[in-house]
Amino acid sequence: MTLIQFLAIGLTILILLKTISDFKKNRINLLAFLFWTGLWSSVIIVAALPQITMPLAKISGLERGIDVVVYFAIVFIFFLLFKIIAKLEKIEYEITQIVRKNALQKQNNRPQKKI
Amino acid sequence: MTKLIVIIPAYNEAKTIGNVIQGVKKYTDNIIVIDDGSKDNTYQTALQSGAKVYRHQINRGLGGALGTGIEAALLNDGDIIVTLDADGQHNPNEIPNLIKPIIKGKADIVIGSRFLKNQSMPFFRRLGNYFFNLMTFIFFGIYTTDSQSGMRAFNKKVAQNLKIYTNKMEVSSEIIKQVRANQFRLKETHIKAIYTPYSLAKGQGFFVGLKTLGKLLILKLTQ
Repeated sequence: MTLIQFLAIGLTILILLKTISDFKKNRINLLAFLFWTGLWSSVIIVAALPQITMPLAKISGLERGIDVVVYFAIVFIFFLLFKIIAKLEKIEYEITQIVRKNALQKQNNRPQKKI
Repeated sequence: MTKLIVIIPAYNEAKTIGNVIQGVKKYTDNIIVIDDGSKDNTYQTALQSGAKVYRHQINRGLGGALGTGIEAALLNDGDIIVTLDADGQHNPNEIPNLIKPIIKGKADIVIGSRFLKNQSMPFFRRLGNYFFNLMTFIFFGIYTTDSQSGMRAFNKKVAQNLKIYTNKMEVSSEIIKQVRANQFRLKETHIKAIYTPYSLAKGQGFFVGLKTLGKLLILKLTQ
């Protein structure tokens, strides 16, 4: 096994442990827990046994199966990024709703001039 | 009697807001200022100048403030609503011209455009505005000569149907997007912007422009 494999496996195990601890502390729900555990476990398997990605290479026409995995990982990261940005926008909008409601209510409680 | 309400969103505009309110008073006493979490005396100055002031506890940006302003205008039974910037770049004397098509029933929304006639404008600003007109057209299908203008007038029907989701400068394009979605009748009238070093510093610079573009893209993709 190469040094990079050790590093990858070690890091992923740490992330996996963090996922488990997050789940125990109720920070993530069951679905998220299963998804991330599955994802990180497969990362460990691929890191330990890269040759199992060979069939992927054959299907995709790329030389190495691991390349297919990396490409998909990049696409997945962009997808996640997009989801996060969309979620952020939604939260920003909701904050504005609260601030707006507050501003309109306060004005009603403390009537200034009537227009 | 149609009731005219002028909405002025303001963020740290204590220096100019008083004058703007005085200018608007010639045409209506119904002035709503949205103090968007200013850290200076915008709130007090606007109040002393005789506007009805709604105050955001924290800064939400132009879109957030405009949304609050429109809701407040509806709560105050406005029939025609005018928005203008607090930095003094819009001349209140252009309000009668701006609302004329609405009073005559020829338009639902009128955008005050700085580009219908030739006007001197700093080159990069002109270029930036042209770029945003193009982007607004590509994303939302309506071409206006001044998609980023902050001076506009619209009737009650528009106010009731506008759903503003964005918080910042991208709101100008969002409003145009909704003009198309709701098939409002849009008109443009010429306005002359008053550029002072102050108002130039307050406008969208290059980086804010880039951010706005990003937000427009998200708006396009998520809705």
